[in-house]
Amino acid sequence: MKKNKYYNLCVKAITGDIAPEEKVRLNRWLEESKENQNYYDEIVATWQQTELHDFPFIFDLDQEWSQLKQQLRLESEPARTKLSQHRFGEILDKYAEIFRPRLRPAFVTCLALLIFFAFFFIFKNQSMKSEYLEIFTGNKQHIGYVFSDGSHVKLNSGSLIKFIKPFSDSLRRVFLSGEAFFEVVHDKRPFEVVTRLAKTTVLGTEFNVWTRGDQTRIIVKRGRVRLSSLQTESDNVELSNGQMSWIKKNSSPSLPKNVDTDYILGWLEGRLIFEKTPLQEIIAELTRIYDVSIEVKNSELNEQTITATFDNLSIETVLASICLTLGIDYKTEANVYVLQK
Amino acid sequence: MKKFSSPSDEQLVESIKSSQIEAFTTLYYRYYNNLYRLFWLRTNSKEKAKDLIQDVFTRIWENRQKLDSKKSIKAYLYRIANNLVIDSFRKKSSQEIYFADRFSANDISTEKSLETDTAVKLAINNLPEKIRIVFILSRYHGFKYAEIAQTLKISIKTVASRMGQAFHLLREELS
Repeated sequence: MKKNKYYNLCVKAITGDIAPEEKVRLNRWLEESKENQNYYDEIVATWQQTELHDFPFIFDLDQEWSQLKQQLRLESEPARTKLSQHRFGEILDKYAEIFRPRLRPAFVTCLALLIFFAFFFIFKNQSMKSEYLEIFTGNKQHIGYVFSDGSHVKLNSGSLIKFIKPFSDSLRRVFLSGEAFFEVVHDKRPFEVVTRLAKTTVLGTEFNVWTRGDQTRIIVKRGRVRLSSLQTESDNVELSNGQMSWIKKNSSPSLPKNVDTDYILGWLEGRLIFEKTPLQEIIAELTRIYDVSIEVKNSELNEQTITATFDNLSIETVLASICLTLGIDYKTEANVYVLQK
Repeated sequence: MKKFSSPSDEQLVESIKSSQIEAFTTLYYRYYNNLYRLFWLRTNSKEKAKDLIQDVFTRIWENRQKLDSKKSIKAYLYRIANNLVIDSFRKKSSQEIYFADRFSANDISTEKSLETDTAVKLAINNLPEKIRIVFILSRYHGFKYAEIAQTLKISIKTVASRMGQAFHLLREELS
């Protein structure tokens, strides 16, 4: 508990919210031991790690503003717009003077054609441009996305995909962190899902990729999939309908195992399924699904495993049944669910 | 040339209360990108962020008579913003599928910063709601604890404890 108090003090010192007397107290604590100093350094490191480099910024607010003004029916046109319209009129008049009246229609036609081609090229180029996209889900969020080839992905909470849109001519590649279900449209180009550890290659199929920590799991609902380790690409297995395989850090893919895919892909219907899952992993999943804070007081509980299915239940019901299974209790402390013996 | 000094937030609020569009415009331009930053981080979507900003200012304008120049307009703007985000998430059931907007290539300065930013954004999005907003305001909006407390109507002590939890969770996620 004492450590916790200093933890918050360290954070305050970094954000500049520390009071002078608190600073004295913190410094005294830091001088007490090397361990305390390391502790502080770690918090500083976290602060530095969370720096974001490319925040978006809207430079030209005029368009946004005029839209809002219209919505709210505020009058008074900004002076600048009036001026530019006026100037444009002036310029047109000037040019009109140069041409004799009978040439004017030809001039207008040329101008129209020029504008048409300009737009044509601008839009043509835009549609050809490829973009680097990333889509990610927060807690409690599911997102569906249709790729340029018509393939479909559904992202579970706290997950992320990155890809180039449109896909290249030779390969359809998506990077994944978290969990997602793919329905891949058949195409000459292989469809690759790359995680930190593994690469899954398919041509056209429905399959699920789960990757958290040092593990990646693949479940094939329909079709054929090749799973290979990123460390040793030659190390691969082929999976077909209803099979599952997984890769752990520094190991080859496990032999395909037959599973009940509808059961195991319960997240698509809002079901939570755990099979001999360590409590630590369950807590991480519940945090993402329900967007809550859960703390486990006794660290030895983390390794305990649970097998259970929760079909669209409230977080309280889920926690209550977990506690019942493990013979422990939970209570709520300042919006945090605390599990303890 | 006329010398221009920008009016304070308090002066702006006073003028907005008497329906001066000019002052409302200034407030809009002054806080637009701050709110954009907040919404963008929270919704992962530029279009959504833009829409929500319009909602914030619509509320300000429609309720301008009730504004209080003695209270911080900044805190008020952020409070509305945060409530709107929470509402928009609530309306959407977690089962609902929709098309996400994306980050276009123009947003990305370098490949390296993309990699690190992605991990950070994901980690922040994985924080529980109440902790996340406190962290975002402190880290990316330079709010002091007292300002966060005022904005979210919570105690400074709660802000401190949520910041502690945020660091704890982020360190686990990012290490």
